[in-house]
Amino acid sequence: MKQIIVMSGKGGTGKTTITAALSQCAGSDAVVADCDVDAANLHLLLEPRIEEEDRFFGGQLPMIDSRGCGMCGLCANACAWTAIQYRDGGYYVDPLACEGCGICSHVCPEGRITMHPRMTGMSYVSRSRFGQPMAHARLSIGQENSGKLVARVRQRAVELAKERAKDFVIVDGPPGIGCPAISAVSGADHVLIVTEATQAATHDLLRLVELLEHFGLPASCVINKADLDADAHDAIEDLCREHGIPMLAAFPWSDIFPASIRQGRTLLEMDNKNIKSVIESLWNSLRTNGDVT
Amino acid sequence: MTLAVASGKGGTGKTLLATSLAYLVGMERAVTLLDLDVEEPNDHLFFTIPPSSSEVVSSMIPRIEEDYCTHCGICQKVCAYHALLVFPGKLLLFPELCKGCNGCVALCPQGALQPGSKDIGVVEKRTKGNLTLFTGRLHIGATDAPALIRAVKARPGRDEELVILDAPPGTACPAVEAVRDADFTVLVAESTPFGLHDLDLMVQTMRTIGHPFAVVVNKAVPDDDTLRAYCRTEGIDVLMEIPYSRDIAQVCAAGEILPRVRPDTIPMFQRILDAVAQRHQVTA
Repeated sequence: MKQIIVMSGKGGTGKTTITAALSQCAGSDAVVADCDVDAANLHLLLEPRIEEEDRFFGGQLPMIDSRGCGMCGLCANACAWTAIQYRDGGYYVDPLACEGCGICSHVCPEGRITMHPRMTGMSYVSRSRFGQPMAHARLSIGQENSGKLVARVRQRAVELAKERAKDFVIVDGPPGIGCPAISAVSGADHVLIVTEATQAATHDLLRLVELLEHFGLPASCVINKADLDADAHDAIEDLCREHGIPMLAAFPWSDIFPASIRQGRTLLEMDNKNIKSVIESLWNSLRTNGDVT
Repeated sequence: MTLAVASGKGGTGKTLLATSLAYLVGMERAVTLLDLDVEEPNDHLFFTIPPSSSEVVSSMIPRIEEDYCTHCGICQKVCAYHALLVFPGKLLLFPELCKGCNGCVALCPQGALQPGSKDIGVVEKRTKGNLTLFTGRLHIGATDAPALIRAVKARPGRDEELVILDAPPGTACPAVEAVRDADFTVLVAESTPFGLHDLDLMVQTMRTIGHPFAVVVNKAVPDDDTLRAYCRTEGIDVLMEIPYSRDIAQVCAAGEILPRVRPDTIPMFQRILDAVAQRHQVTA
């Protein structure tokens, strides 16, 4: 089984649109996963039917029992996140600031602060409209620990691939290079980078490539909106050559990308021969690149 | 005032709007721009100013004083992130798991854990004319984006007239950290179902925080009314629509600031500034 993670560094390069089309190419050989858990979009194109849902607990939240509170303020002083505030004659926890370390509960001399599991999202196993198993999730509003939920989705996708003897796990990754991105790529067999011919994306690509090299992960690259800026295009080709990253495909700027999102169709379903053949040859390269184990 | 530019989805035009507004204000008066997209900062690419300083930001991790450690196991028990492991005769720290809560340092009965530090990134400063730009840049492999965002937010003085924040994408902790103490937030949404879906998540986030906000629609097409309809239903002000245009995309792709190379767009951005100022006065 081979895990292919689609990443972009910069957001809005066409990562999800291309992932959906690759998923369709892979058909029944693949399990699909959406690891962009705080702004998930893949379901809008793959229209999964939910088969299992689980509440996800990604940490803890303190509860202050005001009845026994001696108003000493040690909890607020100990909190590194200034998540405990004094107002209207009592101490309150700001869940948006709390990182769940639980130090407040340890320093309270009255033992009036207790830690409770914090539901940070929902995790789903579904069937995509192409009949594939799909693992995805939804982070609750304003929650932290998205890295843990990303790890949960990937783990679930790998389990599904093993259970149902699938050759591929195709993962739509999060943007950036921080906690969720690291969680999405760690232990991957291959990372497909979707970049675009802009100065900003070129800058972001280098940081993503450095991250992948830091973790020793093999990668290949697709350049979207390839004709938007010639200098950026050349810079991306040079960068990939220097870092030994094969350039597998290029898509010119095309209204078909936003149109496919508006119509809820994959790029393969847009009746455009050029785009269809680029996608199919891209999937062929990914499929045959290295041994499937 | 502090004006945040945010979005759920990436690539909707946050940086386009934040840099354009900062450029426009900077033509007349002092403005500070903070690039809080510390994983992938881009604002500096649009202002070709060399950094005048680059300051390392570190976060707390414990430093183990082997001689005092009795391997009692209390630190391992209190660490919610499993960053400390106690073996007979040995205490191990996993720095990448540590979030710097200071709990082990505070609770070690032997004083065997002392405050140490790990570098998580840098804050670069650039100044030209009226504009000051602070850029947070997370080190490769570092995970604590919110801590670096907090460090960048602490850079401008308290009495700045206008601070513009360019927030990271998403709706999780880094995005919340970026906007949680802004006076007003502009959400940039792109006019597609992806844009609508992620705008809705960001609207719910803003309502949870309880701060005033409005929407700028980017990549707007005349025959797609979904974002406008959503904002009408939800009672959210749409301050401006930036049209879907290859020309605009090309200007941004080249690292140019839209109102600088296309002065015809200045009134559009000025109207956004005026609308924000007006709403800020109403809510203040």
